[in-house]
Amino acid sequence: MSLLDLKDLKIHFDTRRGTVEAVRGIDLSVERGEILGVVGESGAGKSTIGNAVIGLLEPPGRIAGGEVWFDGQRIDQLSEPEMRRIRGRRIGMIFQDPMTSLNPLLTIGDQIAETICRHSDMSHTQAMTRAVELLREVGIPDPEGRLNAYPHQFSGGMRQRVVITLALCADPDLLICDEPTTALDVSVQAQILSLLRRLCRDRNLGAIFITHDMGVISEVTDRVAVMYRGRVVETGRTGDVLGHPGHAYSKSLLGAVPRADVRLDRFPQLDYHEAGADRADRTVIDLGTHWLGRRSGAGDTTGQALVQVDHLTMRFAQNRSIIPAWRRSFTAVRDVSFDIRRGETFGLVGESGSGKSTVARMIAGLYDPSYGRIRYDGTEIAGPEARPISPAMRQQIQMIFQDPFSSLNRRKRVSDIVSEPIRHHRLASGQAEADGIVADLLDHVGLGAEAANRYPHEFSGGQRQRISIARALATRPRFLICDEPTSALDVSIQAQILNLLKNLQDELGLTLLFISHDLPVIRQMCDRIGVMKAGELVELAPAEQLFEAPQHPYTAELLALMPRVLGQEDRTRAGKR
Amino acid sequence: MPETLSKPVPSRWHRIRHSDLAISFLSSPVTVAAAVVALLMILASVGASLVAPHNPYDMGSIDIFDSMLPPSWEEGGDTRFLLGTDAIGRGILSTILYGSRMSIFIGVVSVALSLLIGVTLGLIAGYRGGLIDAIIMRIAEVQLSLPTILVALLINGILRAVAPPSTMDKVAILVLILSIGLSNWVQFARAVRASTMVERGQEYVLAARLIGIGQLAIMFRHILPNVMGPILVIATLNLSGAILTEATLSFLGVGVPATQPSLGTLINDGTNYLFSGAWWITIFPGVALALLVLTVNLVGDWMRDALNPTLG
Amino acid sequence: MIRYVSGRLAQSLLVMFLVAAVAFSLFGFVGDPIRQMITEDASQAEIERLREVMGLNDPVTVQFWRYISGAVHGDFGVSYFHKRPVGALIAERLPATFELAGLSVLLSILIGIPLGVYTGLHRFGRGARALMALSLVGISIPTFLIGIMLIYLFSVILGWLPSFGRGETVTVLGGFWRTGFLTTSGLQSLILPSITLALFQTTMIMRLVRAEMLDVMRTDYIKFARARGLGTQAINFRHALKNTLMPVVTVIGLQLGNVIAFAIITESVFQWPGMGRLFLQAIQQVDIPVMSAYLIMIAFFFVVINLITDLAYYAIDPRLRSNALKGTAHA
Repeated sequence: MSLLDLKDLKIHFDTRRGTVEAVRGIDLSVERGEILGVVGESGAGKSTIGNAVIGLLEPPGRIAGGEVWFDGQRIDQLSEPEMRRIRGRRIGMIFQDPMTSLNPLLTIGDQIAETICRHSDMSHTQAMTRAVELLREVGIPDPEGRLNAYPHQFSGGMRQRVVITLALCADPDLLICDEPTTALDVSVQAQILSLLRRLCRDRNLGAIFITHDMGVISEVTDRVAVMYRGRVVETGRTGDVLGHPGHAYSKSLLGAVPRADVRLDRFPQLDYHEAGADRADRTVIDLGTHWLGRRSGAGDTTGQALVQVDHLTMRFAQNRSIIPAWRRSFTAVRDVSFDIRRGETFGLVGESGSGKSTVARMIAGLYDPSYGRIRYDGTEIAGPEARPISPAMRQQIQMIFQDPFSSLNRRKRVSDIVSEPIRHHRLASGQAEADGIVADLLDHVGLGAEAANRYPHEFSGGQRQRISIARALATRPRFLICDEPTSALDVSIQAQILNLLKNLQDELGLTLLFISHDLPVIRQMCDRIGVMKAGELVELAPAEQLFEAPQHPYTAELLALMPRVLGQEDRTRAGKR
Repeated sequence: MPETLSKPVPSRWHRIRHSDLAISFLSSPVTVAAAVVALLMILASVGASLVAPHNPYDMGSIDIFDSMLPPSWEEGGDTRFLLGTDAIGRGILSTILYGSRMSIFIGVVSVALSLLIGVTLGLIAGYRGGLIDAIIMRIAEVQLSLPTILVALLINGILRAVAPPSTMDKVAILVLILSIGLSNWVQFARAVRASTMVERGQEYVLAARLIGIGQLAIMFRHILPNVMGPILVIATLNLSGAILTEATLSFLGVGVPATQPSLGTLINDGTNYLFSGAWWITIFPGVALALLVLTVNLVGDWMRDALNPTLG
Repeated sequence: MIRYVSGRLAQSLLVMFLVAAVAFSLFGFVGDPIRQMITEDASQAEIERLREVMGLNDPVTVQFWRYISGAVHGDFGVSYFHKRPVGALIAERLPATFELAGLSVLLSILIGIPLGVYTGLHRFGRGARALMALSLVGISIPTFLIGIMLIYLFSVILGWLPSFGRGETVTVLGGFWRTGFLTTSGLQSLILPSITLALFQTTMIMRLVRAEMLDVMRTDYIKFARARGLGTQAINFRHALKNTLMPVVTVIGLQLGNVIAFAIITESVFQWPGMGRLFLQAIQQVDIPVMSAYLIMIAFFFVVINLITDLAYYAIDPRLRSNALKGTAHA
């Protein structure tokens, strides 16, 4: 008998608009000492499984069928008090966001001791002693001193260590981790993953890792279950599934994962999705005749600098005060200089807070730099000698944003959103021509002209990102800034959007500034790459050189910590790992 | 693409009928009932001159011998006066209809005033930030800590000091609207500012800035439609609040003059006869006031929950 | 800590200064106060003498300074209507309002917070739903109407309780405080007004505490606490209630202010001889010295409440106590 057995588990959500079948009958089992990965894209139903096992499915969600067996006992029908004796003591759980998982008003020592006392007959003092041991075990420096600290006094990675302590402090047999490192930076993620793996081995725990990230699956798990739309389409040993995926969906999913080891021209075409993949009949834009070609300096790819950034510095005031000594400021970007050449894709990579997005926004003209200057096509657009930016210049620089849900005004129709730049800059002779251009643009981004009359909420994240791209193209730009354009998207959608950007760049001769925290994505997209850390540019090199022979120790560290997907490398460089 | 666009584009009516808001509204019978009652009361009082059995301000139609009649179902009642009459022989039902017209009028106009001031200042404070935001919000903070009734009384007192007492009756209604309107703008301003500060950082606003759209156009054409939800909720809840404030001020004797009574004035009048047992002169206008405020509150409460589904 | 408090104190002083300026400027609106104080047949010389005595010939800034320094010592001038020093008028009526308002606040906090917690925790329970419906009715009936209905029921029909006044009062605390707490009729007289005044506050506190409770119960840390198997008691009272305290403190602060305003109505309904009625009369009579004094008193009261509220935040929330707030937020 396994530690945990799910038999034909079904989870339904009853809504006013009918029942949503989140999980449609799955069988899974976890043995002691084994880490099972559950991987899938959004909407696969993977997150509800963890909540269902521990009995914390939020209404209107409910277990609609099947059985949950834990250590020889059926637990899906237990009463709440019975379940409370299992939670924490037998099954521990870790949630995604360490910043919000801890009670801000209680010290971490109190929170740990409270949980220990709940599940044992230890006194508060004994529990505090145990808490120190546990905190030391998860790698919190000076655990005695930090017992009386409040959660806000810890960094994100340290908080996740505290969360892990809390989940494990009553010695459970099974640990459920729901996206445990998604909110963390790549360097912290690597530490937390190795900590979790070590703890599971040391304590002979069974564990379930629920994640969308193939890298996490590959690094940590022994077995993996691939979920698609509420069903498990494939299970097996992690190495087998990643190396030789059996199911068509697993194949397409793995194919979409950006590779860190080699740059491909395009992402492999995805063909599994039920409703078909990207439109194959996409027409290629001929700039000589197309509306988008009617712009100044179209398609020049001569390799000279289009954007020059000199000694850029950005300081944000943190609090304003009448008394100067009480004023605080925070330097987000410090003395950054680089050029972006015509026609290239320039990448900026770094962890959260590294200042990469701030640089992008300064170039776009959304922030005024504190020091330094930015030149575009030889004209100073920010800096001491900059003059107000002309509408013609304004048109040339456009941006694609990270969040597909906030980047479109939800009160406006797609036609209004895409045609606004055309109307504002009077790029069309009349309404009829504008409508024609909107239809054409929507067609070129792979949505089809019929999208024009709808509202943003009728579209998925990937489709919205296509609308954003169409809007950016509507000013006939030469320079496109992409700020984490796919980090909110599922991996298969990400592959489609990145392919689209590559196509458009080829056809329109665009220059791209591509911002991402994701090294494999950066490798697939960029010609030259700048690495940022804490507001400074620490390395700038052509993509191949950066990935093969990093010069700066920080770049080397980032590359070393990057989770790798086993199968991909097995297929290309067998035996290296 | 996982989803295709095979579904037809829905019509406007279909969009409204199948919106989350409409579904939520129709599935809450209490709200539907409250909305119907509120609407009926508002319609009846707006059309008071058509609906009311008598015109209580037409001296010719009032007979002093009809005074202090109890409701028609009580002993000594008169079928002409369903809810009885007051001390000078006016039918209570008619005075309620005319009185609620005044109450609703003052409520609506003062809410419109608060909305206009609050939304404008909130948009500016939220979008511009910095010093102008600090000034507007500090004023708002101070005023918010002062209760509406108190501010309205103070404004009323100041205006009384400015205007000579003889003209007070003529400007009383204007004074009332100003004092209620000026004391309620803060809620709008705070809500709009908070929403605007969120919207300002939203990427669609950044995209509009990159297109080159001007500040005013961004504030009013892009941001304002997105913050209408909370504005609507506050306006509804404030309408009931304004009606209550008006009634209270009139009850305290600093509201509308007795020549153009509102519900508050009627209740105040009636209290003089409460001890002599003529309860209907006070209680019926009181019930009308409470019912009006309750139904508007119910609609407002539902709206807040429906537009903010995470709240209970 | 020092910076936090000193900043707040500076703001409070600024607010008080501004309010004093507004209060002082009220005097300018009514024109010449002399005309209100003299008889018809006073001679021009007499008027001039009075102007000189009252300092009306001094520059405005000097008059303002005199007004402020007087106010600090409790000297707000002489009431136009009562022809008595405003300070004495207020001192006479302060105890009546204070006893009524204090009792109501106590009642509304002691009833409102437990009911709010209860309705927040049993969101879909029958009792909680009934209470919520009742509270909506409660906030829809104006305070004065509740007072009138209570009078009609308990005084007119049943004849159990007095309908107006404070009843017998006893002088305590060395002669300046007249309390109604020590006599039967005084206590009886307090019942209806304090219920009237407390009802609205109770429903407001209950609804706000409930909303806060619902917010907190949805947070990740409550979910995580449940996932660790903690008991209902620990989660509800140790984790949830503590986190609702901040907003509840704010609410209570605001409610204290509200009580002052609603005391005016209650005092008017029950003919309670307190500050509210004094102020109401002042408004009706355009009695500027009383209005100004009341305004300053109220502002002072609010400023003190706000200051206490801010200090309470400081005591509750460790994040405010930490100086390195931003340093560790991202690392």
